[in-house]
Amino acid sequence: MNTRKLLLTVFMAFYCLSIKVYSQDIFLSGKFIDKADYSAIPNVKIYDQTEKLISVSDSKGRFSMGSSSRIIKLAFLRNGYKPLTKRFVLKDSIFLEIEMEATSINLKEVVVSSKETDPFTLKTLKDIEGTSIYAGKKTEVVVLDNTNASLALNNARQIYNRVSGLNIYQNDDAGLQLNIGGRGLDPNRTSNFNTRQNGYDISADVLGYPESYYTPPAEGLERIEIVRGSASLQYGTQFGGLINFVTKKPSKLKGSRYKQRLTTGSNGLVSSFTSIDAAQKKISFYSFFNYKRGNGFRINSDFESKNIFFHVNYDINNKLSSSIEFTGLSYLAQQAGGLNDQMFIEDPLQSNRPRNWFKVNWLLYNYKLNYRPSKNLTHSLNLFALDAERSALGYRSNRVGQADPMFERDLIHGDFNNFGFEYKILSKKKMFKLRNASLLGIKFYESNNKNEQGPGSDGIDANFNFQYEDFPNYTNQSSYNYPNMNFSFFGENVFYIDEKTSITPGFRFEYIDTRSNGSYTKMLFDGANNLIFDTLIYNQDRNTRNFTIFGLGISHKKSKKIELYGNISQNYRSVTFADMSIVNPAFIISPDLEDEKGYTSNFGIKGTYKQSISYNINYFYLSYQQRIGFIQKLQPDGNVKSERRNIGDAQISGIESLFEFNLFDILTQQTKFIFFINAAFIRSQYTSSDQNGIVGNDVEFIPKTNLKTGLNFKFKSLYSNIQLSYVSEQFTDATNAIASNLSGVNGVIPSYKVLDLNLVYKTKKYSIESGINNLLNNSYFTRRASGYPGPGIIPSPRRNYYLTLEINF
Amino acid sequence: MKIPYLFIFTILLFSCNGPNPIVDQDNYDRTVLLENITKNIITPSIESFQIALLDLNNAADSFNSIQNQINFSKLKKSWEQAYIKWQHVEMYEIGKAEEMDFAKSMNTYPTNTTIINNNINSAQYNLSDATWPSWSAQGLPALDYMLYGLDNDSNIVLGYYSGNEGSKYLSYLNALIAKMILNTNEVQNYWASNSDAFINSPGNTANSSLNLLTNDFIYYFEKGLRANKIGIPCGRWDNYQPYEKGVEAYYRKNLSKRLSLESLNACKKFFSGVHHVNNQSGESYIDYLLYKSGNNNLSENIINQMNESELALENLNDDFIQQLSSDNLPMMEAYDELQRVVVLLKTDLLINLSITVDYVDADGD
Repeated sequence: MNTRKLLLTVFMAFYCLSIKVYSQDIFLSGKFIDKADYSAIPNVKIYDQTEKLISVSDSKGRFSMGSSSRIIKLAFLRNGYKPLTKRFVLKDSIFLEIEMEATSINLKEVVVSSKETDPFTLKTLKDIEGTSIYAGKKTEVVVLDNTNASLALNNARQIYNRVSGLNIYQNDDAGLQLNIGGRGLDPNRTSNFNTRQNGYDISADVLGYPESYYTPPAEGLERIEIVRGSASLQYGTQFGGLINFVTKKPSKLKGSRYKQRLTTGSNGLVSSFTSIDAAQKKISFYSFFNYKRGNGFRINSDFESKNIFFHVNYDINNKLSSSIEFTGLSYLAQQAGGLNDQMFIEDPLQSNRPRNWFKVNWLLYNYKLNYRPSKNLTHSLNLFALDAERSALGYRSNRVGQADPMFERDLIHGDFNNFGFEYKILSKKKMFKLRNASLLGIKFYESNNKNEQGPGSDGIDANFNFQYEDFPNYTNQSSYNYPNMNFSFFGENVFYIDEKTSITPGFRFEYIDTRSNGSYTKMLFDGANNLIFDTLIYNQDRNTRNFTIFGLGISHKKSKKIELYGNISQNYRSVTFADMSIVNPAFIISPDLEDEKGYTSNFGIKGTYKQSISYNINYFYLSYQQRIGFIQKLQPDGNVKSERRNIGDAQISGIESLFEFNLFDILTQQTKFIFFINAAFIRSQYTSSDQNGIVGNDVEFIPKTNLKTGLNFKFKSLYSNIQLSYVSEQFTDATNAIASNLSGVNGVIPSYKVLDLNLVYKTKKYSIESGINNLLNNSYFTRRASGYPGPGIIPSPRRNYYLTLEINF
Repeated sequence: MKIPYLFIFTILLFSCNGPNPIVDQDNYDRTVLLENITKNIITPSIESFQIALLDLNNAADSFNSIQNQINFSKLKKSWEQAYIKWQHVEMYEIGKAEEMDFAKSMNTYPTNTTIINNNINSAQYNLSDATWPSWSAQGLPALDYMLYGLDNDSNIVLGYYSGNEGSKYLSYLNALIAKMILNTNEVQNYWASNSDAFINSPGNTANSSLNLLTNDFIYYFEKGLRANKIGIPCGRWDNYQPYEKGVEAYYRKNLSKRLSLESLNACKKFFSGVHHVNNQSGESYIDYLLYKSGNNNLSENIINQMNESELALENLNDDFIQQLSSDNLPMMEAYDELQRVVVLLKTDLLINLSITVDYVDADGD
């Protein structure tokens, strides 16, 4: 309260001039509206120059007052909005519309303000942010500072504990690889999300190879934004929607600030995170460096990772700003391989793969230009490029129980290069008396990727060079280039049909040109595996298409506290490079192969009740059509081949919900007690398929119940979280196999429970974070990998500990 | 205000689950079929192979004591019987058999004579390695070389065992037979203790018994019979350059046709549910197909095509090596007939039974 008064005094003093006071003879009325989404703002306090409270806006944002003066100065104050003072010269009684700007425009302030007024952890995005429209969509924002999760370990189970219905592969204890999937989509390498960092793509190839080998470390993140299915209009491919990692930004305060975090944990984990942020006049920068090393929770799983990030911001003037970003990641990890069910029961942490290695180098470049010529017009230009590679080396027989025979290893090398730009323009205007905001954008994307498979060395070291001369008869040899070009044009428009209701239609036009050209060595062996014939087979394929998808969102804010939302959007998942290349003569690709298509619809309600309950519940329905798979097909020459083509449809539907209860209210900010429950219930079914025996079956990787619940406790500077995760059993293949086989690849993933505990002591300068993950020391697994890092069951970590020290200066 | 409700209604409309699809599961009792195959075909086939191996072992015992032509030819005769019985066993690469690579350790050919000779001379070898070099120096084809391939003249071959170095040869011979018996006993034990669990698996998933069995059967027909016995020798994938070394029982010479016919016969009996021992018919794929489609058309097609294949095989020389060198064409024709069976099995049969294929054949055709 004191701050507010002080502010007021400052403003008053600054603007106050001697004004003659007349008798009240002019009537002033009006309405407060939010600058971003035009919603009404209730409870705005109106003060005159003497600091006297004159009026307060009602629930519809309206106010009225009398004035005896023809020239008046008024101050408008409202929590969560920038204080505003205005001078009015009045001739007659008038009705005014006064726009106020939410403090969320500056991210830094949103965090500060949310801490003060909003006790809940999960946020959602505003209708309009920057040059993006989120009205009517299901959005979830994880503010990292609020989570008190095991950040140094990138523990996805904790970081995303408020994001409903996420299926998470938990198979490393340092968080090198993020594997999350929502709404029943495969979590592998987060490949069913459109994955971005600060708005630009970070996956290997957005369309052809959507796996994300790099995701930024949680310690360097401000927040994570997730927009479900309807993100397809603004962001393009994938049914899962958008996941955008927003890194920390320079604070723009003069001087420099330095943060050092050191973590030590179970299994030799050492992690150091250093960040510096500095500003001078118009230039500010933020940079971090993250080093991680550890032995992993199984033998044969050592790793070392280095990650650097650099961001410079230059405010050319108050309308034009630009920034440059650079990201580099390099890691080498040993892969302990997969297990079959019997091995898992015997010893879930065993490994018989002593020489399997995985290496990633990832470089990202970005330049952004933001131009805001007026308050109703914003342009943004985003130039990005990626230069990355990944290599996987090892023995990976489907006979996971068999010892490594120590012959030559399989080596796969992927090389990814892409660049592009995205230009967006957002304008707000009135049309037919309706307020509306429109967004138009174009995106151009070009990539050239390469994938090569061949013999690796027969040694045990991480030697990522092909050994063609020593092992010319190695079975799997192929080399392909994948040029890819994509142009899209998209738009969305928010129409506010009254002060509470908005409708947002949108479209996206895509032109995609996916090509593959290369060769594989066709090798034929006799019954004793002697090579009897080999030849190089050249292949090229090109899949050019264009299409337009549409979507519609609707939002009805019953009050500032309750919002009903609904949307329906078409989705697609592009034909991938793997779909377009033949590495084995037993396969052919259907000439009619198309992108996987479908749509997502979604409706829900979110809001808060008296600062004590926050909720977000929604129902979704995902229609997944033209899934790509194989059938056995008779060829004209009398042979039967596996043909890769669109084989059928599936539907997935469910309820996603999050409730947070503020048990111990904000009477004293000193103590806080929040209980949360995040529950998702999902059903799925294959509705048609050319593959034999799967119609009517469940879709794989979908736990019917996915639950996270916990307590967050705060006392002064001490924070504590306890969290229980429960995931019910899930199938891993379309036939719904329950029993497994020798490879451990198919079969059910049993249900599992995991308990995590964290304790954090935070002051402005120091903080100590510690925790125990998997407190109950359960043996469980979340994944049956069909290839790397398996094949087979990939076990999850047992109980593990960590301790982080942070110093700020 | 009405417009938003209209939209919400539209969204609701799109959100409703579609009509329930006609599911691929059926009410046929797969356990009856599984029981007939397990109890009357698989188990007795393995047991009669086991008995043949014991005969072989007895013959080897006699040969160990006295290396003469009588004992030697008894040994060769019992090896031949075992090889014929084996044709009824190879396709069941399930459970323990799959785990221990039973088929590869028993019948990898062409056998590798260099490795065998090294093993004999060094007396240092590990027959339990799950690698191609190990497999290609053991099993029935290794015995083929040991009994017929050391020389063209049977007396000279006998001389290897009775000569100065004889104990080395006898020792390897015994080791090969012992390993085969050990392998087979393990597989027989597996079926003895797991057949009830195997039968009681009525589902239709990738790892359900009938799915595994059907896939194994088709894989065997495609790879073990069609490709290994005919396709590779006739050079199907190498511009029809005959590959004599690829013939089964290469050193024995005139056994190859017999083995191929026996193998095809085993497939036919498996498909039509004919008991291994007394040729009675039990519940079979024919019954399941009748349940599924209401007619016997596909079953008849499959059996007719198997009969065509049999005629084509009968048409060949007893010794495929001779056939390859005189006229490759009948071999190619036999291949084509077998391939027509593969097409029926891999597409029509699997579609009719709603079973998903679980392997990729790297031959590609």
